[in-house]
Order: sequence, then structure tokens, then C-alpha cells
Amino acid sequence: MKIDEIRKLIEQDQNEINHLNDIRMQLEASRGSLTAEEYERELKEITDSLETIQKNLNENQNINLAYNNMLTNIRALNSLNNVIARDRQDETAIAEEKEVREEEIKNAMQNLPEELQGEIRDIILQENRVEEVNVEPRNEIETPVPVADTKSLKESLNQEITQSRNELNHLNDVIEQLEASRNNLTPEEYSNEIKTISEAIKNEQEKLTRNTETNRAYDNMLTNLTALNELNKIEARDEQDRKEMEEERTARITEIAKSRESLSEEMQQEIRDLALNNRKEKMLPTTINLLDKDFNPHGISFDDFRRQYREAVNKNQNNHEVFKQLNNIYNDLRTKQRLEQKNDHFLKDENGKIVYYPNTSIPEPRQQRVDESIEEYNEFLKNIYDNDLKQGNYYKSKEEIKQLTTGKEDYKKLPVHEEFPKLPKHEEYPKLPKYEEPTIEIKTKPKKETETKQKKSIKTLQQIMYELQHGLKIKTKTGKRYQASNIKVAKQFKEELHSGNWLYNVVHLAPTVLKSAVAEVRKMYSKWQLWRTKQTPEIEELKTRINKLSKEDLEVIWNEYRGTQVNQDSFTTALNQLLNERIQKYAKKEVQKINTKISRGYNKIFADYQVIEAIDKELVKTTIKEEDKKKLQLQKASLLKGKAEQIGNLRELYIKGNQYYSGGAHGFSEDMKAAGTNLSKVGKRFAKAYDYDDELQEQKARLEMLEKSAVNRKDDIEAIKAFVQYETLKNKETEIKNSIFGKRSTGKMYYSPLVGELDYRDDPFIRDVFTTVAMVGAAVSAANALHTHETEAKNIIENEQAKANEINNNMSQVRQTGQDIANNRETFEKGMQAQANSDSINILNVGERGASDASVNAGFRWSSGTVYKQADEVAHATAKQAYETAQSQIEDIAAKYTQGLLSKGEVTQAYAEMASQSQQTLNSVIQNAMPHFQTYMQSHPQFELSEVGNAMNYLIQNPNAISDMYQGMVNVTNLGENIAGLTATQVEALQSLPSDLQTTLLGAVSSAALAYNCAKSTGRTRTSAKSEQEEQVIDLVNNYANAKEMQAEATPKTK
Amino acid sequence: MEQVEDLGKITVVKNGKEVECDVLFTFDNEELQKSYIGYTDHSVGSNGRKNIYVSSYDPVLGTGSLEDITSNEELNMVQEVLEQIAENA
Repeated sequence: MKIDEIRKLIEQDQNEINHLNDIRMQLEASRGSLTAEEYERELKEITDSLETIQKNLNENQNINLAYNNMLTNIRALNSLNNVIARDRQDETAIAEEKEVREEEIKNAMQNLPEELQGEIRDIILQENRVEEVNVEPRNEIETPVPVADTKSLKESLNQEITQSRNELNHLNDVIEQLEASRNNLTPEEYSNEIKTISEAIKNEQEKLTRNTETNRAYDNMLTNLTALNELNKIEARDEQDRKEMEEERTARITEIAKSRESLSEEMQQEIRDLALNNRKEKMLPTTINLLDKDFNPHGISFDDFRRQYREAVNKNQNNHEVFKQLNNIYNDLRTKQRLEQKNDHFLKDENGKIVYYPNTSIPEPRQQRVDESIEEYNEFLKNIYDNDLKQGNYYKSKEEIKQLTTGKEDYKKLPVHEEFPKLPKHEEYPKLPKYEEPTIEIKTKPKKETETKQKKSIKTLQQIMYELQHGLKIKTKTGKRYQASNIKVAKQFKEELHSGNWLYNVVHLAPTVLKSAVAEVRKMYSKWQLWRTKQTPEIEELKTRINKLSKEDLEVIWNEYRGTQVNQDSFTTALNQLLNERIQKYAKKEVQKINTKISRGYNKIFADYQVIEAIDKELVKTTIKEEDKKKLQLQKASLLKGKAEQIGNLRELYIKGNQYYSGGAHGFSEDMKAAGTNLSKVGKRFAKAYDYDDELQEQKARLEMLEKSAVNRKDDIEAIKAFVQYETLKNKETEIKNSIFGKRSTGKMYYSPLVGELDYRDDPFIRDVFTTVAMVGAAVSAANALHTHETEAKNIIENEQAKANEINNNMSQVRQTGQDIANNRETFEKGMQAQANSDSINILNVGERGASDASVNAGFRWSSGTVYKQADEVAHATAKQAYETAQSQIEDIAAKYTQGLLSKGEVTQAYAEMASQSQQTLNSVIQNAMPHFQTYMQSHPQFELSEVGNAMNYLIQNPNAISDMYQGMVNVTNLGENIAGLTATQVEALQSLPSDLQTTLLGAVSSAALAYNCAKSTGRTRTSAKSEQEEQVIDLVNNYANAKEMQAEATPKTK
Repeated sequence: MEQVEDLGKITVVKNGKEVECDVLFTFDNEELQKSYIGYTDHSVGSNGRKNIYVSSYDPVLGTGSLEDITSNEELNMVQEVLEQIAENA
């Protein structure tokens, strides 16, 4: 049957159905005149007919649909075959589309009878013939037309660089794809692919480096040659100028010579031609009249100005008056430039050049000097830097100057005080409201006015949010990490939901599938490919805008988040997520700044206090001269000056700093707020609980009150005394020690003069994560070893049964250690069970190695035959790769965490992913080992190998157990130490093993050791990176306290 | 969201027995490069609610092998999809 006939049938069936429906309606209408029996019979006939016709109609419609589908897709495929890809990306896209079309055609063909398939083929053949008749002969079109190569060498070079970059991007994509499909490849295939791609990347990188170097040399030679050409055309106006020109010429020639080394002769010639043309093109048609009153030399670069000046001077050699004026202008500008370069009020870069505010010619002030107090620096900013600006030692932006130079205004009038930009932020103790005693009233009216003025210039939250999101199409789910797409719902389910008759339990378990006939599910590699290449321009733009937020804006956002306004407004997920990251960085930076200030403050106070004490000792001596006494009193007064205020400020800073960590910024992550878990609340997590100590509390209360009231009274001497005593007490009562919860204070107080110091350092979290990950790594290596050597071990054990039994007994200690670890992890259920099972495998490995070790000692050969050798090599390679990958990943993550680039949450995520990868490798290794292992178990019950078999099975059945464990943020108890013990035992047992075995087993052992070491070194690095300040401050307080104690001991007791 | 007349069936092993399930919905996740499937054997739990099973699968390998959904983020996503389907019903 042909398609036209089928379509006719469809039409007929549709008409018939309409007709039958009409009859049914008529039947309903005349139901009253029929008996029930007649009505039922009639209705049945109609319904039966309707069902039959509907069935036919459906079948024919499906055929028609398949027919259209096949025809359309074949046509599209034909067109695709005629398309010539523009580039590699295009080629991939075409290939993907072809694949999809072919799949569609295949599906359609399954629903089409042979006759109709033939009909379609005829149609296509006919169409192709018509097309061929209508077009000109193909060979004429395809004849390549020679095109003259007009590209310069430079253009070709740039093109090659771009190509290399594209190729590298492409190769990186290929690697990602390979990684994703790794499970579908054998290790050999994977290894070969990786090798080929890596080789290609290496070659491409070398090419790119070479071309980039050449490109740089090209540009350098062109710039210097152009400049040299110009220089050669100019005559020096005096001796000084000649000298300067000579210096410049020498420098240019050196640069050119250096560049030529990397350039071919052809390229050098091209540059010479270009430089000549550049000179012609760049020559100004007429020299700007430098003597014009509207001419502003600051509107152009100094080099440009000098060039024009020289040209003008050359032209006016005989016009003495003009010559003189030109020289005056040049000298004025040069003097000013030199002065400015020497001016130490401005910030300079490493080359001695002044640093300007972005997009302006306003120089930035120098930074605070080491020997300069904050007050002195503020004084400098206010009096000197401000004066420099007022006197016009800056220029406006070039654009503004250009505009102004075209007007009537004289450039010398340009600097206008009212238009000064805001002074740069400098470190200053914040003017926070002071503690008020009831008797003292502090009127701060003038301050309020200042505050109001400041607030006016600060944007509101809503304004900031508007500016961030304006013009971007951010939907509810934009930027959400996991979002669903392509949702398909069965009609029946939808109707069921609509009826509202049911409530549902949703279960997330994966059963074993026996048969699957799911519609709409196809093996779509191309779909997967498309997912990888999708872009999110909105998010990129949003990120850029968020990164550009000013400090003031960030402060507003931070405060408003704490005030929960953001929650009420329900901003988009994308915005919240990105802001979260940005605000965390901001908060960390602010805390660092605060800690620096606190550290300086402590140093100053303690140093001054010790001098004051020494002065006091001198002053009480009766032998002191009146003159010296006066001098010392003056010195003491000077040291004490402002101490009360400084101490007050220090306390305020500490509170402010802690608010960044524990202020409860709702909406931001747990890292930033004091959650119910007390994870980050300072002092809660890191201090041991003690009974109430009345005496200590009384001391704290007294000293704090003394300090506060002295600060309020501005009583410097009392304030500093109370401060030093209070700090000494806190230091004495704090004892930071290692405990089962990590580093914490076992004393009665938790004391950290700086903000948030124990929040991350020595956090048990990081150690646990490292440890757990490496345990998986250890199990991988152990299982590898088992896989490799079990067949050999069988022979050895048969020959050396007695010795093997002995070794087995000797390993009980190791087994016990493993058991201890397992016991400690009971609380962590599934994940920990998997972990313990990994341990069992590891222990088995040790036993097996021990047995082998014994056999070697007894004079037996370890290995024999090629099978063993091959297996051994594969195992070594796999173990080595797993170990190296894990090591580099751990180091990378640790480094990022140490530098503060990763939050705790991100570290968890990174390790979870890493653990997942390790476990996948472990699973595949175990699956390979299982068949050998089961045979082995049957004949060697004395090794209790069934436990290990169970462990292996458990790991296979719970492939995500270990990685899932991270979701719960577990606390592993002293695991690192236990592993270290285990490691030592294993290493001892390794001493007499052949080197190849040592390598394999060390892979297992050192993975565990690695974890412990990484955790320790991370703690150490963090200590040195972040807490050096704190160490210093604590040392300072310690030294003071110790010195006092020693003095007390040395002093003879008098009654 | 697309409504499909019939999404097909899968046969699974439940309590050691073969059980045929109706597929209720499917969806993809581009970020995870995984697809998800919801199905039911029309059994009713002790709380009187109908059981719906949701699992993930590799879009390249198809529904022959299903996997557990374990991460909270994935679970939240599934929850959202179910809410979306219910809203559209």
C-alpha cells in the first residue's frame, strides 16, 4: 500500500469516527423510545466499530508519522552530506546532527513496511536526479580558485597562535570526554588514549610558546625600530638632550638586537618595511602649536609631547623667541615630572613609577611606613597628601583634558578642589560608640552630622541589587547547581495527580532492572555532548558585576544580610550563591585587616608598658637626680598618652572582627554564622567545659570593670594596668592542647587575642577528610596487590604452610589495630562500614605479604612465569597512578584551603569527589580480583578470608558509601594517629621484601601515611600562614607573664 | 514539560520477585550529566500512600542499570521536579 492510499484511509477513518459519534448522539437522544436491551445492543455495536476504526486510524497515523519522519530526515541527511564544514567545531556539530538524523531514520524504518521504505527511497532518488540536472556540473564549482596569499607574516603568526589556543581548548575538552567515558574503556584503551592526547597537548603547547615568543619579539622590534627611526630624524637641542637621546638610542638598539635573535630574516624585513610605513603614517600632518594658550601637555603622553617639541624646535631654529618659549615649556614640564617622580608622597610601583587611581591621573598616596603610627599617617594624608592634591600635583583623566583643551579654559586652572576624588581609605581606628557609665554623658552632635553626610553617599541594598541584576535574564533556576530539564510526564500519572486522590511516598532506591522498555530514552551521546558546551552568559556577567562591587557596597550587603532583609526579599538563587562566595572573601579579608591592627596594638601596648614599669622602678629610687626624674616623668607621660583610647578601640575591633565570623548572617553559609551546632562560634567548640569557678569569675569581672571604667575616664595609667593584668590572666587560664576533638583549650578559658584564630586551624574536620580519603586510596592499592599476587601466594602457602601460619599469628597486632579503627567508626554506619571493610582488605594484604616475605626469607623465589609478571606490572602501574593522582589532588586541595581559596564546604565537596573516584577504581579492582579470590577462599579457611570476601561484596553493593559519608560531616576519632601506628608496623614488615613488592605495598601504606601527614602539614601551614601574628601576640603576653614570675621567684621573700 | 501518552514500563526485582512498574516521568540533569526516572508498581505503603520510586541512570547507557539518588542536592532537585509536575497537573 502506498502512502497516498494510507492517507486516504486516515481521512476515511476520521470521517467514519465522526459519523459514528453522530449516530451515538442520536442514539442517546432517542434512548427513551428504545428498550434497554435495544439501546445496549446498538451502543455496543457503535462502540465496537469505533474501537476497531480508532485502532486502524492509530496504526495508519503512526505509519504516516514514521513516513514523514523518515523522508524529512533523509532529506536533511542528504543536505548535511553536501555541507562543507567551516571549522573543526562545525565539523563536530555536523557529525552530531548526522548521528541524530540517522537514529531518527532508523527508528522510523522500524515502523514502516518495506513497500513504503522503497517509496521513500524512490522519492529521494528522483529528487537527487532533479537536483543534478538543475545544477551546473559539480567539478566546475569545486575547481579551486588560486588566491594570492596577501597575509603578512605577522598575521599568519597571530593566526597560528589562535589556532594553537583553540586546539588546546579542544584537546582539553577531549580529555574531559575521555574521563567521562572512562568506565566504558579498558585500562589499556584509556591509557593509550591519554598518551596520544597528552602528546598532542605537549606539541601544541610547545608550538604556542614558540609562536608567542616570536610574536613578542616581533612587536618589540617594531616598536623600538619605529622609535629609533624617529630619533634619528631629530637633532639634539643641547648637550643634555644629546646625552639623553644617545642613551635612548643605545637602549633601543640593544632591544632590537635582542628581538632579532628570535626572528627569521623574512620577518625582520617585514618589520623594517612596517617601521618605515609607521613613521610615514604616524607623522602628524602639522605640528600642534605648542605655544597655543589652550595647548595642554598633560593631555598627551610625555613621549608624544617630547617628539612634537623636538620637531617644533627643529623647525624654529632661526626663530629665537619661539625657540626660547618652546624650551621653557619643555623645561617646566620636565622639571615637574622629575619632581613628581622623586616625590615620596605618592605610591610607586617596583620600577619607581607613580601609581595612579584607575582611569585617572591622580596619584595614590604612599602607604603607611613601618615606623609610623596610624595617627602620623593620618596626619600625612590630611596635611601633606591633601596639600599636594590642592596644589595641583595631579592631572585629570586624559579624556577630560582633551575635552578641556579644546575649550577656552587654561589648563593651569584645571585642578579644582571641589572636584577632588574621595581620599583613599586609610587605616584608622573606627569611631565606634563608647561604653557609657551612667554618670558620664558624651554629647556627639557634630559627629552625627558627619555620619549623616557619609551615609548619604552610600548606596542602599536595593539599589545595589538592582544594579547587579538590571538587564540580565535571571530566572528562578539560573545558576542553580542542579536543575532539571527535558521533563516528560506520563499522561496517566498527570491525570492521577490532577484527581488528587492519592498521596505519595517517594523512595530513592535503585532496584535491579530485569527489563526496560522506557519510551523516549535513547542512548544519546550527542545530547550529552551538547550539555557540555552550553554557556551561561548571564551568570558570567553577574559574576563580573559582583566582583566589581565596592567595599562600601559589600559592607551594605553584609549588614543587610545580617538584618535578614535579603531573606524577606527572596532574591534569586544565582545572586545569593554568587554573593555568598564574594561576601565570604570580603569577610575574611576584613578579619585579616582587623587582626593586623589588633596585633600592632598589642605590640605597642605591651612594649610601652614594660618601659613604663622600668621608668617607675627608676623613679622610686632615692638616688635619682631631679633633672633625670623630670625627663623620665615626661617620657612616661608620653608613653601613656592615648592608651585608654587605644585599649578601648582594641576591644571594639575584636568584637567587630568576631561579628564577621559569628554574627549570624542569615542566608550565608554555615562557615560564616554561629549555627546551632556551634561549629564556628569562637570559644564554644574549642574550649573544654568546666564547673563554675567563682574566684576566676570574680577576677575577670573586676579586671574587665577596671579596664572599662578607666577607658571611659580616659585614665591611661589605670587602663593599661588593667589591660595587661586581664590579658595575663586570660593567657594563664588558657591551655591549648591536642585532644580527641582536635586542638582546643583544656584550661578554664579560651583565649585568642586575634579574631577567629582557632576556627580552622587544626580543625579535626580537615584531618578526618584527609584520613578517610587516603584510607580509600590505601584500600585501592591493597586490593591491587591482592589481585596481583594471590595466585603466587597460593603456591607459596602450600609449600610453606607452617611458616605462613606463624606469620598469620604475628599479624594479629596489625589486625588489632585495624579492628580498633573499625571500632572507632561504628557510629558512622554505612560509610564507616565500607571503611572498615577497606581495612580488612588492607590487613589481608599485610598477611599475604608477610607470608610471602617469609617464603623469600626461606629461600623460595617470589615470582615465576610471565602471567605473574604481566599482572604485577599492571598492578604497579594502577597503584602508582592511583597514588600519584590522590597525592596531587590532596596537595592541591590542601594548598587552596591553606590560602583561603576554598571554604570548608568546598573542601568537603572536593574530597567527596575524589573519594568517589578512588572508590570507583577500588570497585573495578575488586571485581577483577573476586573470581580468583573466591577459589582461594575455598582452599584456605585458616586465613579467615571469608571476612574479606564479605568486605569486598559490601563495597560492591554500596559503591557510594564512603563518599556519602561526607554529607554528614562526620567526626572521626584520632584516626590519623592510629593510621600512623599501622603504617609503622607495615613498614617494618616490608624491610626484607623484594623491591617491587615494597613499591606496591608502600603504595597502600603510604596512602594512609600521606593522609596523616597532609592533615598535619595543612595544620602547620595554616599555622604559619595565618597565625604567625597570633603566635607573636601570645608569646608577647607569655614573655611578660614569665618574666614577672621569674622576678617574683628571684625576689627574696621578706616577712 | 511535555506530556507523553505512555512512557513505557520497566521490570525490576523487588523482594526477590519480578515486578512490572509503570514509568511516570523522566527528566535530565545537564550539570550532573545524568537522567532520572520515576516509576511505580502501584503498591501502597503502610501510611496509605502510593509508592513512587525515583532513580538515576546514565543517559548514554539507558535505563538498563539504575542508580540510587543519595546527595541532598539531587534529592532537592527531584523534589522540585515532583512539585513542578503536581503544579502542572
